[in-house]
Amino acid sequence: MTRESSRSRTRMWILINYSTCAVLVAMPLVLRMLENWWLRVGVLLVLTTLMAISIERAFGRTHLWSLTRKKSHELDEREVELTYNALAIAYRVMSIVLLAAMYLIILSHDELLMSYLGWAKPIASVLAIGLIYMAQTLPSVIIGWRELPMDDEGVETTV
Amino acid sequence: METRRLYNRIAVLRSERGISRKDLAAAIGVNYQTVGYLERGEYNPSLDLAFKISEYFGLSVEFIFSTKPLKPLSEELHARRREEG
Repeated sequence: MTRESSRSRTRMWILINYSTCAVLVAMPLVLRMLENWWLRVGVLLVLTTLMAISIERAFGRTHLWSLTRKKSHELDEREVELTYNALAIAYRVMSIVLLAAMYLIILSHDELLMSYLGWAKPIASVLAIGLIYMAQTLPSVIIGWRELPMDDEGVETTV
Repeated sequence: METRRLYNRIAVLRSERGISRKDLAAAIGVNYQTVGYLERGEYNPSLDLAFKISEYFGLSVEFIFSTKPLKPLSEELHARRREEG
């Protein structure tokens, strides 16, 4: 497998992971639409499984999760540069996303607007969980999205 | 900040001496994947790392690294012999 196709695969798992996360955040709204109790449990089960698989594929196998959590003295100079850039971009993105989320939460206290939109109040707590998840994974996502994955070619071999 | 691409002979020297990326990486104190990035010219080493590499191979920094594409070793050796002879 080429490094380019490997990057495409990482990107695909990142997209699946964040899409699943977005659906889980909107779950209070989705559950309202589903009348059947078993269907609700089934949807939750499928989404949770997909979330777990995509976390493992996007951040576990690629070592992206551990890369952004290592202390700087455990990294070499290239990895320090890589994580520094990813953390700087993640900080900028998160500040914008958090401000937007705060605005949404403030709006959710407007009873009239919420009743008009048909939104449920619990969205605020689920949204907070989604934001915490995003803050934790965004630096890894940035590295996984931008960088060509590491190859194992020539690790043991001499050529 | 735009940086110039640095060309290097790390892959040739490593292959010539029968050293794996993992061994070289352990000797110079980096992740083995960083050696791959260096060899492909996708990452320019710091001065400290460049010196570590040159000390490991026992060669001068300018012999291993260059801002211009490097000639094959055989060609360079032939040219030097001609100069000496």
